[in-house]
Amino acid sequence: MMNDFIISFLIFLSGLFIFLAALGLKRFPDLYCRMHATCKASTIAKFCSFGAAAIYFWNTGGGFLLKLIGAMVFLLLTVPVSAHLIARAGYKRGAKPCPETWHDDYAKTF
Amino acid sequence: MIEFIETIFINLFFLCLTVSLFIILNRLRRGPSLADRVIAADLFTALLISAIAVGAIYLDEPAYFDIALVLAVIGFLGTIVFARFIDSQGQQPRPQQEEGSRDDE
Repeated sequence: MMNDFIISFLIFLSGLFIFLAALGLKRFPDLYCRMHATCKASTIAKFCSFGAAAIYFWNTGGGFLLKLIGAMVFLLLTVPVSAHLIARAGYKRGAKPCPETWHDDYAKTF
Repeated sequence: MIEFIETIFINLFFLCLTVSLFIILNRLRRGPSLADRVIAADLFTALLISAIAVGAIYLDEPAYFDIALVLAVIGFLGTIVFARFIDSQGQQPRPQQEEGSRDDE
């Protein structure tokens, strides 16, 4: 079945992007680089697994697809907001950028 | 043949999740600052959301998807609350953290 193949490939992509986010969380030198890695890759991973669920439960009634699209829009709106808040709070707390950083506009406001 | 490939994909998914779980727990143990730990917890929530969505497919039960949805909402609220907490902690004068953001060799 071609459908099952697409579903399993989307599941594999979800796991791969989670792994890439964890790799960035381990290897990057800086709070902001780590956040850059995790927030984008985890959004793509969630979208892949939700897309797999959408294909698998395509014929399920009860507004399942509507709920799934609502969840996707909610994730798309909330993940950047939380990343921005964490970055700002970390900067105020004193998490320095890595030494290779050569442009820091936010330092002027303090 | 194609069932074999599907089985390999599903097992690779669980392998990736297990390896990244250990990496995330390592970062939770030694994040240089509190914000790093909050990011690690956020990624842990993302991992749980993906695992629950895949588990709903695996068990053929669409009602389990609600757990992933509620977990997304709770994770967002937890991150917001932690950001407020770190922000309010920064009001008091504290010694600057050492350079140790390059701690991983």
